[in-house]
Amino acid sequence: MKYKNVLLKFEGKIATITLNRPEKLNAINDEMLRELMKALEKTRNHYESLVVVIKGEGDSFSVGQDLSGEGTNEIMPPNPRNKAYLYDMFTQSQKNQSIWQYIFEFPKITVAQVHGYCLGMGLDLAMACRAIICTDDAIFGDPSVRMGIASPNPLWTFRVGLKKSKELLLTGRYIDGKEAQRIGLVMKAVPAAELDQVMAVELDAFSRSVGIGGWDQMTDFWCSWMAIMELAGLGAARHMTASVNVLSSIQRPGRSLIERGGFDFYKTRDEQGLKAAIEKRDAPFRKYFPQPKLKKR
Amino acid sequence: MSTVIYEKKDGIGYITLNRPEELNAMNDEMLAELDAVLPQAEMDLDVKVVVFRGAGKDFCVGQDLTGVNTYEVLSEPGEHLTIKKRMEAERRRNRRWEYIFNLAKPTIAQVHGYCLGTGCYLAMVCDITIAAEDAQFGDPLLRMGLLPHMPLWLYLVGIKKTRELLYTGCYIDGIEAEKIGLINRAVPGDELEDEVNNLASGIALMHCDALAPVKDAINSVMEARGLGAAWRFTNNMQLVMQQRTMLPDEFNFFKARDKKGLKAAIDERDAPFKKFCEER
Amino acid sequence: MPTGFGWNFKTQYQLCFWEHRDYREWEFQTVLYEKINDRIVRVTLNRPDKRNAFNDRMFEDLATAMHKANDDPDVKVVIVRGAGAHFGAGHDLSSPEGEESPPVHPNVNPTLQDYYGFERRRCYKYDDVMDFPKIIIAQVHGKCIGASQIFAASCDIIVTAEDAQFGIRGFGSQLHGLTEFPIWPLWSNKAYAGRAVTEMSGREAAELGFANVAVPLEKLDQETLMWAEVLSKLPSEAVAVTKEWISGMLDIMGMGAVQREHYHAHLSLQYVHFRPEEVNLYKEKKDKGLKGFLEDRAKTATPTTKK
Repeated sequence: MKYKNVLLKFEGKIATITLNRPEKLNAINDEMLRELMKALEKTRNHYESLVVVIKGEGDSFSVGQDLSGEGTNEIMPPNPRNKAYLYDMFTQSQKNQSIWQYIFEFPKITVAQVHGYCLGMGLDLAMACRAIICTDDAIFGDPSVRMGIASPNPLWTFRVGLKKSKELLLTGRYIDGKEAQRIGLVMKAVPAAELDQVMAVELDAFSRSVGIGGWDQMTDFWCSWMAIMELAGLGAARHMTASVNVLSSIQRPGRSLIERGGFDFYKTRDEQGLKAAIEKRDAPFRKYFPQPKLKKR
Repeated sequence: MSTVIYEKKDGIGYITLNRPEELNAMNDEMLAELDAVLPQAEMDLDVKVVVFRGAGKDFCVGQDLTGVNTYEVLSEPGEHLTIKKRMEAERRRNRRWEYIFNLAKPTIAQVHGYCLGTGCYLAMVCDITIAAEDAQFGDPLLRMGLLPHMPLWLYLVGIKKTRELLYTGCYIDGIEAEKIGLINRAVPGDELEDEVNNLASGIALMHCDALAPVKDAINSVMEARGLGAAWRFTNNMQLVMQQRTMLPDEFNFFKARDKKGLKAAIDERDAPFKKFCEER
Repeated sequence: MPTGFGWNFKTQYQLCFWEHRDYREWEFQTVLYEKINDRIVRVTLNRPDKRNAFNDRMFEDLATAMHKANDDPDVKVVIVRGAGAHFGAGHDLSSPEGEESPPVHPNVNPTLQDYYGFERRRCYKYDDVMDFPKIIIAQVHGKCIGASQIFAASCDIIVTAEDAQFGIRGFGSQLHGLTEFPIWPLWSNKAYAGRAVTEMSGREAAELGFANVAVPLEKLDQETLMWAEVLSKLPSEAVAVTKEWISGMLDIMGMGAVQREHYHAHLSLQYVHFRPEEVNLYKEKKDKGLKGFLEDRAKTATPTTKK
């Protein structure tokens, strides 16, 4: 399979999908997401594979959505500066939700292997997997609030509970692998040198974790679990978070957040470049929420 | 002297429960003052985040159980009220918690000392709860034949822990509360105020229109998970509880209080559970 | 009555799992019913040679015991525990055909209509356990698997030995209803969320909030009695209303889907295709017997690499 932004490998019962834009820390853009979906579709039809590992090439899992403004017309909401119609924003938001739903409901066992940064949309991707295994210094977070955006990820309270969800999303702060394990966001956080070995053991266990009715019945179980999640609120939650995500993204010149002096990420990026915009976004918070650091390799 | 004090500083609104001699027990006056102060805090665009805290040694020991000036707080058995009046009273009581839960700006509970009953409910409906390590959380309502009427129990700590804590009425400290998901973080008591101010200041850096939708998104998920229905259902079950038969050999808190005084009644209420809870 | 099963089919129409037997003339065969004191009843599942696996008779005995305890006005708390080395190994897979416990062999070729009834009957018991209006405590030691695990989950409180075993590899414990209902932390990664095998020790179960407390085995009886004693002091009507409130809350949170999907999954067992390298339940039971099936299943489910 010749994709540009992802790599796909089948080996016995394990399929591995590697996000492959290492020079951009695997920032997610339209093309990568499209290729990821194609790779998943191929994996879904691959009889031998029972487990799918999703990981990142290079120094990080993924820093999240590509914020450069290029090649992201599909995954990002239309630029508020262009006075986008609600129609376009809602359509885009719903489409994104269906992508994450597809990954969450994927009928093979999905495992995210995380090292380095796992932020924003990258974290949404990891959370949609059934399990996350990471290095102890991996960095997780969703800084959307600092850009005035409400994350459309409906899984937070299911994964880390109500209180931690509110804290992490309202502060936008980053946590390391150890804290992520403590709060239940990840299954295991291990020293980087041990990650490959731990993954091998866990993937083997996952691939053997069939029940009395074999793999065939597993897939029925999983379908049933998705029904339960829907009734437990996930179905409506998806739509509601998509809706609130749009309402927060629609902040444009002439509307509250920007006019009343809130931080205008897009303007800062267009005037000073992406790196400066990210720095301006995060710098004021370091005093209150120290940012964990990646260990030197 | 106000039973609720409201102050603003550097983008943070502080709401302090102020009946320290009564361990900040909630009575009609305190609830009325909360009702006046909350809309003020919510509508003030300069206030980015609201901190709830308690004057004196405790956060809040729960409902005022004296029976004096407590119509809004607690239904006493033997009150000859129609169903309609009871429904209205229950709805008012729980609407307050629902309203604070949905306040359009982030809320932080700063908890030290006792945080029991409805005091615990206040801490639960706040977005973020930071407590002293030796704070005491608990819900002893069932011992008095009252319904522990907070739907968030199940969402926060799960089925088994909810049953355990509501049936035994045992208190847990800040450290255990953090472990089971009831609160965000427990810190040494002398660091509590700084920890909360630090958190609030970090949040206050952001525009209220950045914070409001983020909170709304999570609360919407909770709505989708049934919380909206849960508030009403809980009101209805409180009505059912008020119809219960008190068997002659069972402890009757209100009778004991009227006969022997509040303190004696509380001691008698807690005595059968004391040893078990201490040895947990 | 002609049914798709070809054997005499018990009616699926029953109002409540534990309310339909008259306990006054009943002789308990597979459980022991004892009143420890006025307020506390202890029910001991008593098929230790079968690891207290449920057969039809044990379901009936347990149900009748619950009915009896509920009607006794002095009783406030029921303890359920297992005789011998285990709490319970789930459904008795060695029960003869015609009983409720073993999975129905596809060769029997039941009508979907009858199989629905059969499965509803199997799965809805646990809702009824949750509706029991008095406090019910599961005292767990040894293995607590499958139907026994669901039963324990449906009880109010689980007091467990530290080295008890909840769940078993190779069984596939997704869809045990309450054992995995999607309230944090059960769906957090802490619980290996979504992983098909959840095998945890009593200690892990208590850590996770699936069980309430884990103690050394020799302290188990005493600890359970302590819980029963203190909870027997609560006003009984208030307990009934509070339990109803919690059950209603769980309904609001979507619990209904859990039980229903549980039996949907059981139904699928009729139609699965086993992969060539997999342990085929029906074939193995025929060729190697139950013991052989369990051994082979354990082998393939157990990772070879050391953790």
